[in-house]
Amino acid sequence: MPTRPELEAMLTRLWSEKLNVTPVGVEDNFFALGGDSLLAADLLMDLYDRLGVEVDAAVLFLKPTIAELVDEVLAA
Amino acid sequence: MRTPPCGHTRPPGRLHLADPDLHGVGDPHSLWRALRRWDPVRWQPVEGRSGFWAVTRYADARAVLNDHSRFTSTGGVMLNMLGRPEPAQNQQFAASDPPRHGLIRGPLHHRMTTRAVARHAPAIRSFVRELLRPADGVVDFAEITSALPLAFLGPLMGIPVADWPDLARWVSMSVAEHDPDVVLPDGPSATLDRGHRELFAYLLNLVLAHRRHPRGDLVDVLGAMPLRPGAVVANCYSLLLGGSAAIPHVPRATLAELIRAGRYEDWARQPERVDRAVEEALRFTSPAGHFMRLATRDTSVGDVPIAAGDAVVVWLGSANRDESVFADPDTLTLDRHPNRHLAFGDGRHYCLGAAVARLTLRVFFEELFTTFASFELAGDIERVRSNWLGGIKRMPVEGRRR
Repeated sequence: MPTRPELEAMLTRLWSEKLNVTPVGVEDNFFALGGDSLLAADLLMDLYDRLGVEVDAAVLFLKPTIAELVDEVLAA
Repeated sequence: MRTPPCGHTRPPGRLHLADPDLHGVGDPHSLWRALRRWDPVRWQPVEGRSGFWAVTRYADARAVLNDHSRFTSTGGVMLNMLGRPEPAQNQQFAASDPPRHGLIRGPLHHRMTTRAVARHAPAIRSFVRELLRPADGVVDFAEITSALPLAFLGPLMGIPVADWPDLARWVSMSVAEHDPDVVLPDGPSATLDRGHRELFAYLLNLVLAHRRHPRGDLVDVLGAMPLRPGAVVANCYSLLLGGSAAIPHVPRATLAELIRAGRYEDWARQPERVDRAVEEALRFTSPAGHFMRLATRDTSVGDVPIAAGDAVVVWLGSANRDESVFADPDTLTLDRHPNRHLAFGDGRHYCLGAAVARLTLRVFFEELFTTFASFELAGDIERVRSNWLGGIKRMPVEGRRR
């Protein structure tokens, strides 16, 4: 399992790519950056496929920051 | 900027079709009646969001819903999307036009024909019997019928009964975001976002569960299509909302009217006419109140010019009471035949679930009529405060079993 900084770097890259926004901070809100529900679903599925971990989808939809998401991945 | 065309006589009052209070505590039918007569294609300004053309006559409603080249679904199909970007544009069958629409809808429709859904009839009947079992003494008929969609959402999407209370609340937040039962302190728009995101999260988890353990249902059909994950979930969202938001309101508003008019015993005595009862109940109640389209070019509806980009909102509840098509339209009657109502919409976007909805309603009315000899109202009826969902949310009744 990657470390927290590695996960943060990976997710920051992924969000930038999906949202077409730079820079992305770990406390930025996915929806405030222009994300929508379809993109959020793409992103989570991408995460499952890359890391092989399943975090509860509610995390990204309801607490939509990289920091929260990394917490969940590390706890999974 | 739009200005209303000249020479139109305005119906009295300053009633606003998008106002949830009109539908919650007011009388939309008298406004619709006046609009059909005096102003059948009326420009309705909406504060901060331009406005929309309100189409209230049956023939105009059909013309708009049947012409996807002039009136597109890709900009969202409900008023709460007015002026908002539709992220599911061209990715969700409800928010697509042909030919794209058919590519997604086709494989789903194959599982949703009258013939295909008939095999679910026994499961639907035993589910409905369970729903009606506790209906003794004074009960809230709205509560009894709340889980009705699960009669088919279980078999078709693998949604467990235990998840229903949460889902029902999120569905309400997504289609009736102004209703005081569900609105959040941050307001209707925040309520809509929250309901929507809760449902997306739930459905993404459902899609993942299906990936691990396929059930051969509609979720698996969508999962096998060449769609991005977000689009799979967005289509599940359409199925869930389309399947669950409206249907409980058909038996509620029908029973309310049968009690009011003293016709319940009459209807219950004629089980052989239950198919007519279902069609008339659908026409009379029309719980899906409107569908929105955007004009793709300068055009017209009736003799009213519409500019490219304008929102056009077809009011199904009004079209289904159009006196030029339905004699004595405000009367609920088993004698109405033919009954070509628009409760399921019209054209390519005609309700995907119409066959299973008809089957479920037929079974529900059969079981209701067989089980209960009569009903009385046992308190005040409360309607939903929403400009999309026309229906009842509380309805205390006392039924007498046979």
